[in-house]
Amino acid sequence: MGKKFRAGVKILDKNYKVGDVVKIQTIIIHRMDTGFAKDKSTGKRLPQFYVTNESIYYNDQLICDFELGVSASHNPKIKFPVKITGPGTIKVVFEDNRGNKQEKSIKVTPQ
Amino acid sequence: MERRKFIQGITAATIAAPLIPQLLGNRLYAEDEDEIPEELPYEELYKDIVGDEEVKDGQSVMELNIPKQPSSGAAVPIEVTVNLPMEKDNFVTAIYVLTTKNKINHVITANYTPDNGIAYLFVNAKLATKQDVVIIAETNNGEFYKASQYVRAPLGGCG
Repeated sequence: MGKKFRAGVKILDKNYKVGDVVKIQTIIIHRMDTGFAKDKSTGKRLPQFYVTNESIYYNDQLICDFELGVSASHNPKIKFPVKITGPGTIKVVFEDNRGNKQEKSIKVTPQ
Repeated sequence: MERRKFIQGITAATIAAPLIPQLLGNRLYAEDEDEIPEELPYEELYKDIVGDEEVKDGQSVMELNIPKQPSSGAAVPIEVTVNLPMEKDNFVTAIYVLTTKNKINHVITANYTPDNGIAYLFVNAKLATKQDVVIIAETNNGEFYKASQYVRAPLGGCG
């Protein structure tokens, strides 16, 4: 319990100004087990284990959040838009159904 | 003497090899067992989202970018752009991505605010067989738009 999984956040646009809409990409390194599949080596059913929630904060204000289901792929990749209102940080909080949490933040520096 | 050391080294490596994945950080497993999860059919999920509201045809409002014949169903890229305004009193609150023939059909629910600027979403989904991918957009006025595309994913995408 309380372990951290790997995740990454990246702004896809390079040159952006205040008022522009940029696309941000997050990748989570996670098994995303559906609960139906079996382990090939042992034959045991793998319990359900997936990322449930991802919330995005821009200067500590909640912008949007995502509720994931097991039908999202292994190592899910998500892209979403954010309107740039000024310099600051974008913080992304990930959480899975076993209580593991991860936080990643990225600096926003509009030109 | 050297030969003995070599044999000892080999033995130690053989014993340690299965432990290596556990030492690497990215190999997380669910430790405890649980019961077989409940299946979530598409009709039930659709009813949960829409309820008794009227659903408009969103094929003209949404731009879908989904490969029609992906080589694998394990990670099918789904890209949606909803061409509806994202203003303060008139915006898209949620985009739902659903599958129709997986065991649990919920891929993602994206809850948006006007701070997002546009209503755009990209996500990778697992598809067990060839099936429809359904996308529902909800606005803050309680309107629903629905668009779908048939994806011929090969069997065995572990849905």
